Amino acid sequence: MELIVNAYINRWTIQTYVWVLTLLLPALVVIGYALGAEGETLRHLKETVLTHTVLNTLYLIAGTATVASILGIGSAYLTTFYTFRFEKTIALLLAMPFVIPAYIIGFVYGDLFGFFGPVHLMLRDWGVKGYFDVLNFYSVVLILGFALYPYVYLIVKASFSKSRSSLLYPALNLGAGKFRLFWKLILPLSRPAIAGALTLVIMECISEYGTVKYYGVDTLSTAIFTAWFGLEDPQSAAYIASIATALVLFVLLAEKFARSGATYKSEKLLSKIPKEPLKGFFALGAYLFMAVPIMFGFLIPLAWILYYGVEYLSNVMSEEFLGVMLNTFIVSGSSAALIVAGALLIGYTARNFPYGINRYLSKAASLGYALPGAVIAVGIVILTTSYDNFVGVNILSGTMAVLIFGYVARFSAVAINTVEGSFERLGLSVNKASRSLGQSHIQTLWRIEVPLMKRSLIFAYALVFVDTIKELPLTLILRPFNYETLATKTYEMAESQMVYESSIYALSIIFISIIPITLTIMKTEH
Amino acid sequence: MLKITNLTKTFKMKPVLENLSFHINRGEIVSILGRSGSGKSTLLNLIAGFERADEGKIVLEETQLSGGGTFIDPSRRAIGFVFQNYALFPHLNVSENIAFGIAYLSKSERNARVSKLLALIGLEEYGSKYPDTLSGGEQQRVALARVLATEPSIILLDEPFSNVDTVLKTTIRNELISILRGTNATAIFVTHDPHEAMAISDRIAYIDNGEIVQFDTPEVLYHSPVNENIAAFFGPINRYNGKFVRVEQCRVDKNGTIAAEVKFSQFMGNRYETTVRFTYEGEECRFLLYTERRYENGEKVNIEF
Repeated sequence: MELIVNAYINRWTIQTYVWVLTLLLPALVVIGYALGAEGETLRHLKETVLTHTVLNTLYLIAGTATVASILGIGSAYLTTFYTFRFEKTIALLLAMPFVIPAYIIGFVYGDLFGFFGPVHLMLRDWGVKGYFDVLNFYSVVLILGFALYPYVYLIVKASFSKSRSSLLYPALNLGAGKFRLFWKLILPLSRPAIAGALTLVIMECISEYGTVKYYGVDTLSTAIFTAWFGLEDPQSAAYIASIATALVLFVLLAEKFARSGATYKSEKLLSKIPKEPLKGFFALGAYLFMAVPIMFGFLIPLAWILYYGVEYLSNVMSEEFLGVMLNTFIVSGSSAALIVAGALLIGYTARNFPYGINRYLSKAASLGYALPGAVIAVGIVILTTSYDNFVGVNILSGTMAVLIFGYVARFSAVAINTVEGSFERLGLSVNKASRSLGQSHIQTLWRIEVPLMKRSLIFAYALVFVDTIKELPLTLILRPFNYETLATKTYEMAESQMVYESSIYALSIIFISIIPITLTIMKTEH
Repeated sequence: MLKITNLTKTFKMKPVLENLSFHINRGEIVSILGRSGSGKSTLLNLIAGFERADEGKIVLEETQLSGGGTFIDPSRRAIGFVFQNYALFPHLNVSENIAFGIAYLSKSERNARVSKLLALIGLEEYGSKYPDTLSGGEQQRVALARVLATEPSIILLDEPFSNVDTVLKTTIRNELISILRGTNATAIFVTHDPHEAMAISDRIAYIDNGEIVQFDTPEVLYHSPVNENIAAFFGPINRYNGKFVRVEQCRVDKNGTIAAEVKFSQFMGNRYETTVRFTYEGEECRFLLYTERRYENGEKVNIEF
């Protein structure tokens, strides 16, 4: 008994349990609240919004996953197995849509194809009559496809380049043609990677708010907003949020199922797979294929934002812009600091006390990342309003602390991943050495591990920082009254027909994201 | 000095150490010898306090470290640990590494001890170098100095030579042992190499399946092993009639009492290895012999052991 008590209950583990539980609280509250929903509300919901929002969400998932798979797997294949001019640049460009949040890509195309947008102006100039409206479901599928395919591209590319030449050579030797090799060997071997990448794409689809709202597509995410802001019905909002949660959990389970029995350990590469040069018509087709996502996912939106961003550049010195910038840095900066500190705590406990439930701490703490921002936000608002009602004073609701809590609950996973990896690479021996030389856990963490992990910690901080800056739905729900961040400002200006003025805010988001994200991309590539 | 009583440790329902008891005297160098998975590293981790025993007591110089509700944290045990991969802190230079565990001393005392230790390990000029720039042997001596700085009651060394290049192994081993002997340190080595254990230890504890099977001087373990397993572990043996004899104790002798037939002979550089066959007390036996010349297949020889 003494052993169990010591392994589970010490200062480290208790602090970690409290932290992880705090991170899980919003999701738990949503589920608990939804379970208490009354029959009447449910029937009403079912009759009005539920069926078509769930169906829309599912269609959106299916469409986006298809587009993202074709673009992602195709370009991963071409860049892994072929060599061509500007190969390195193209490989990097293919990942670049990552730096532009989907909703910004959405606003750009909304404007380009709008009634007064350049496309229709040009068509009218050519004498073409009529107007086609792009604000529909199919546009959203394409936009999310272009915005999210880099997940598939990067993860599958990493998996392709680990394909063992020890398998490929015998297959070639046995006379398998190139295309058969791809369909029969490379693709099936990469199934776990594809499943993992698509899971991320699907979670982003469920979470997406800005684009679907702008294009007038009702999904679970927008339904949460409608119930919350429009109907002021927290019970319904929580219920819809819990359906979104269930959907996410289902996807995660499905992924686990898809992976089971298909865990191919990546061996050390014996030799690099020889790349073939692209030739003839195939080369032309390949260039075109890769040009499409680069153009539509990155270059066109970037050009648009730069064009108008430069036009409105003088606004950068405005008090309004600087205020938004400051707000963003305050909330994102402090959230990222808290998240990294929490990740250190969880990582240290998980590695130094790897017993029983401690092994699942980081998984549990990462749940928030899988859930849509709106779900977490709803959970937090329910929590804070009930607390405020309980004490009888408004001390939590609508404060910056609540927004920071939202970011921490949603984005801890990113830092935990990086920090855990770093702890793993460091190993336990320096830790043991320091402790056997008379240092306590906290002294060891501070004197040895933090300095040795400095780069990873900064990297984790930057990644989380960027993620919080881009997050729209959670910020919209949790921010203090009239508190604008780069994401909310971009969105609100675009929503209220000030899409050109929003460009400097969009540009700022891209600017801040570009370095950490490019670094991550390059890290995944090697 | 170090007294271990009835130590038991189980991992996932599988006993790793069972009811282990022994004691070590001051100034003694002891090896824990065993095959991989025998529980020897677990024993070291238990003594250091990196793991907790299920049962049993560990007492070091009158202080109970573990057992009966007590558990002293590794940071309060005054036990030095030298790791297999040395575990030097890569962001600190050699002097800072050595001074790491003695932050409680005044700066001048600390510097004095660091220079004394640098001299002891023969790396006076290396104080400001970083661990990555040192050779394996140098890193190991720094790791030892870092431990010696804290003046531990006992030093534990976990397979300290397993990462060392075989050509240099003997030199590095001799250097390390002479430093340890010079400081009158009490030390426990964990190793899976019987020759290493014999070369460096006053006594060897042979551990198998979580139990100490024999604990004695190297000579006794080599010449009077308590079982065939230990005998075979220390060197090749010939088995006959449920008994065994060391290969070097068997020889071709024209007055030998046993008539055998040569199966084959192989040249091994410093000797020939000859395999012979004979019948002993009604049982078919095969012996390996070290011989001075090649014997023809089928040649009749007399052997003695």
